[in-house]
Amino acid sequence: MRLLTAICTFAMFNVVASKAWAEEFKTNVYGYVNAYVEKVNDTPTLDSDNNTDYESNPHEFDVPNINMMVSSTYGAKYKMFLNLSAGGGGTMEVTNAWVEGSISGDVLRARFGKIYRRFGLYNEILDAVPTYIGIEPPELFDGDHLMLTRTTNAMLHGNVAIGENILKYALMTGNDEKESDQFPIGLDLRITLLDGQLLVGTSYYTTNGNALPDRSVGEGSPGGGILPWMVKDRYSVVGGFVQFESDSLILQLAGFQASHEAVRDPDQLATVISEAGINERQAERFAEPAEVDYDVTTSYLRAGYILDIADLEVTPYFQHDIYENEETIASKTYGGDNEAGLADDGKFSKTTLGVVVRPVPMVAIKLDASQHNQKFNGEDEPYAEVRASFSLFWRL
Amino acid sequence: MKIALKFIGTMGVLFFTSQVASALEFIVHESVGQNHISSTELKNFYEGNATTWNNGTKVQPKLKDFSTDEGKTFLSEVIGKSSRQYQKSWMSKELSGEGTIPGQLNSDKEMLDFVKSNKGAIGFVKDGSSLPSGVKRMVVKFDGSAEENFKKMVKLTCGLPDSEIEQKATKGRTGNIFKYHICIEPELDLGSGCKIYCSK
Repeated sequence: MRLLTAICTFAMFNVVASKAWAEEFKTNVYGYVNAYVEKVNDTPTLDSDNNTDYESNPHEFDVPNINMMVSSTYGAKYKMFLNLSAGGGGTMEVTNAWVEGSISGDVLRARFGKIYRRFGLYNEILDAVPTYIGIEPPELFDGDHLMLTRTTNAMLHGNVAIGENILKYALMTGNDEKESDQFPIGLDLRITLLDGQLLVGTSYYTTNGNALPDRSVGEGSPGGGILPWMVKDRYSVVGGFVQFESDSLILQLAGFQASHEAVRDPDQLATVISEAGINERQAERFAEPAEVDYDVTTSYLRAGYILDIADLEVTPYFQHDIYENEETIASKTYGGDNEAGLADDGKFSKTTLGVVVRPVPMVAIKLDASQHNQKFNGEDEPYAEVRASFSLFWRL
Repeated sequence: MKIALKFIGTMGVLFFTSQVASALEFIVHESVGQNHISSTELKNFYEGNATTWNNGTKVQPKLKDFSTDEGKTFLSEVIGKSSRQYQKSWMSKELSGEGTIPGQLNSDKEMLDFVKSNKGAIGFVKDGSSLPSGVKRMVVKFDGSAEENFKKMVKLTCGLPDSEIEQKATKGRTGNIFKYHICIEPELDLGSGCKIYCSK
């Protein structure tokens, strides 16, 4: 009889506990798919006599993003997020995986795991392809020449309401690219004004000591701000951003600068100069001594105007990106970027005109065309590029 | 000429009437400690910028389908965005792990059932719906002057056209604005079936 009572009590406890768990635990599964096609016009190159020649580029299809996200909350305090990506090569990667606990309501929360750092307007939302104007990310977070790592491991963050405005803040650290026991620090501060229409913010990052490249020469573009031919580097990145978003207008303006104090590895650099296909003018940039102080700067202006045409939301947009990095090269295999690295001096600008068509909010069809401007072999050598992208947000 | 003017006047009234917003009122689970909420706080809950009530309970906001009159009124009077914009801003948050868009319900019954059975729940129903036990009315306090608050409350709760709201916004110590502002009675009957609620 006692055994029966104990079993019944245990069973009842389990029923109550699992019901309470189910009531408090909420999970959502969703994601998006993004496919695109791109055609770059003939780009300048050098022939055997060091004269400018042009090479054609094949058009390129890709499905860069097939993402599945799982977002869970347990009560008011705990949150979990998993972002799995299987784009391009087809292998599944854990893009984000973090847990979060509230220390003091929305005022202070702690997040740990693999986190997109809060930095500028785009880093956290680059996976929200269907929602923003433009196909390519701003140069700040172009995967071929990142100014810093996109992810980090710990973030204290929160927000407070100041009247009708909201102030958001974040303090971050992680493994990043640190050499040993350094403590890299990231900061972000942003405020929404004018009933949420205006966002103004600033972001800062420092390696806070020496940091190392995450890969060697020949292993592709780096996953952070340090080029593969550096022995070590200490750098900081600082910048500001403004966004105005009304019923019909989207306007974004941002500027960032990374300041590097780096030491080149002579052997790795020799490999780059001899094997990475850089020309004489570009090689002049690498004639300096091993210790180099250099800056990487970028800025962008993005503007879009939302029109309702029949049942479609149509948003024509304009973008202008500027990027300067005197230390980069063109070969992606050797750790460079084929846009900035193509230029004699590592400077280029890109002007883009495009349109986003949304038949429903979950679907975005984007078409755009860009003109790249840079100096190559001593001459202005612009070239054009057209792209189309189709992205769809889904939910289970 | 007179007939023409009368016709134009009638058409004007009809046009105005067709622009009238649907009336709605906010309801919460009885566990929610407060009886009123500022329009900014309300917007923050529905936009994911704030996730807990003052007593620490998790906010569980629910929406009416955007095709319903209440859904449309909610977007225009509380959020100030079109349904496309609202969904897009939430998609951006969802894809960066910052939260998930509040679920949508089709009927007042579903909304009342949800709010009744979920701690911290908030939703909205047609104005004048009878509330079951476990569900209480939440008064919205709009930012701005007493007059602005009164007018916005009348628009939200009664869905009257602006010209009628102006008529009901009587001033002075015996006027409706003052009566509503000091909230002597929790319910203020403005006639024509329009009742608004206040909370001290």
